[in-house]
Amino acid sequence: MSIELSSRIVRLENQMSAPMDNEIVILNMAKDNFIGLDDIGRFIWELLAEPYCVDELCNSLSWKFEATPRQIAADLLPFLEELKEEGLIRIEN
Amino acid sequence: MTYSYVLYGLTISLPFPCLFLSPIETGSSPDVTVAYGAVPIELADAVVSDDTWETGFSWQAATGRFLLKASRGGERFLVEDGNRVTVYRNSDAEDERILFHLLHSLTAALFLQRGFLVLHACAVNTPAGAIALCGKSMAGKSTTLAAMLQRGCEMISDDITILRHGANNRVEAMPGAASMYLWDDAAQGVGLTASGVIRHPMRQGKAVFPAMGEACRGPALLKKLYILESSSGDNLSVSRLEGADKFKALMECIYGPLLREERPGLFALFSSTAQQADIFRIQRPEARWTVDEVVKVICG
Repeated sequence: MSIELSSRIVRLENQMSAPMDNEIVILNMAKDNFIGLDDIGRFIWELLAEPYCVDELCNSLSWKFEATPRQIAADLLPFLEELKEEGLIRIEN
Repeated sequence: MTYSYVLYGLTISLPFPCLFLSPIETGSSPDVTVAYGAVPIELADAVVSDDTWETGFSWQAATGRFLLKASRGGERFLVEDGNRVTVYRNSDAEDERILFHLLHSLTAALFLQRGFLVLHACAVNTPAGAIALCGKSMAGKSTTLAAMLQRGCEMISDDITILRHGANNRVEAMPGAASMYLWDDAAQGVGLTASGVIRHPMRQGKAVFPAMGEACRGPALLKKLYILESSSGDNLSVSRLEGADKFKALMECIYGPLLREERPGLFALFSSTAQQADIFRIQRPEARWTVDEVVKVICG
């Protein structure tokens, strides 16, 4: 199932992460590797500690980064798909 | 009769004497007991294993247990729960091989089971803090170690570097045996003679030498970590790692096996190490390199 604006997504439980230089590094037990997220990725990751609707996420990012929700969605959706592919987040609904 | 020593900060009881470790007098129970006894031929629930014998031995691992077979039909060892090593020996067993494995793979398994971060690395102490030299076998770790000792660095450990959280969650390297395995020509290069020394039980041309200079007596804060590797290029190059690359590099350096389910338990130590230490890759030309060039990069 692809992630859409109406999707409600959340991080999988018990993820371990640590700040490192300008990134946050996540221990990905699903794929047995480490994932580094930059400061924007980190902001999103921290928001996803609780379930979030993708369109609400777009609005939050739009306000923070002064871009339109449409511009945000163009980058955010592929990023979220990558996180889902890595086994780090799931769609709740 | 048993013999008591200190091994990377732990007290260990052996059923035989060991020249390479510092003996202690102790009346209390040791942290680790090594004893002769029965050892299974296989681990029934092994999660990972290497039965290729490419390294001269085979091993199997499960949570809290590590089985090593040092020769086909000869000695084998079982490490359990970070506090017990059982040694099975028969008429084919060789003392030098037993000791070698005890101070290498078995020590690594022991300390991993106890929750330490165990690196395939040498380490020295300098006025600016501890420096670890990682790399695959034959990367030049011990040769570089010897050269740094010659320049006045203090010996922390050869081949295995054990890290732990000390006070205030600072990462410390623990002092190991004050000896190092060197190729004969590398030993000669630093003024050591290969006559009368104990030969490496599995590598011709290598022997164990006492470490030169002063040995570090206590834990030392880790400041830098260098990964030595060969490259096809013509020149030596150095790159500093950042972010997730530091974690990935540390994973490469682990003196494994580190089971998947053990990784969350070590994540805090991984993070502290990556945050505290600067980590670099040194890529040296495969065909031509000098230890002086590498030491110059490390020591400045």
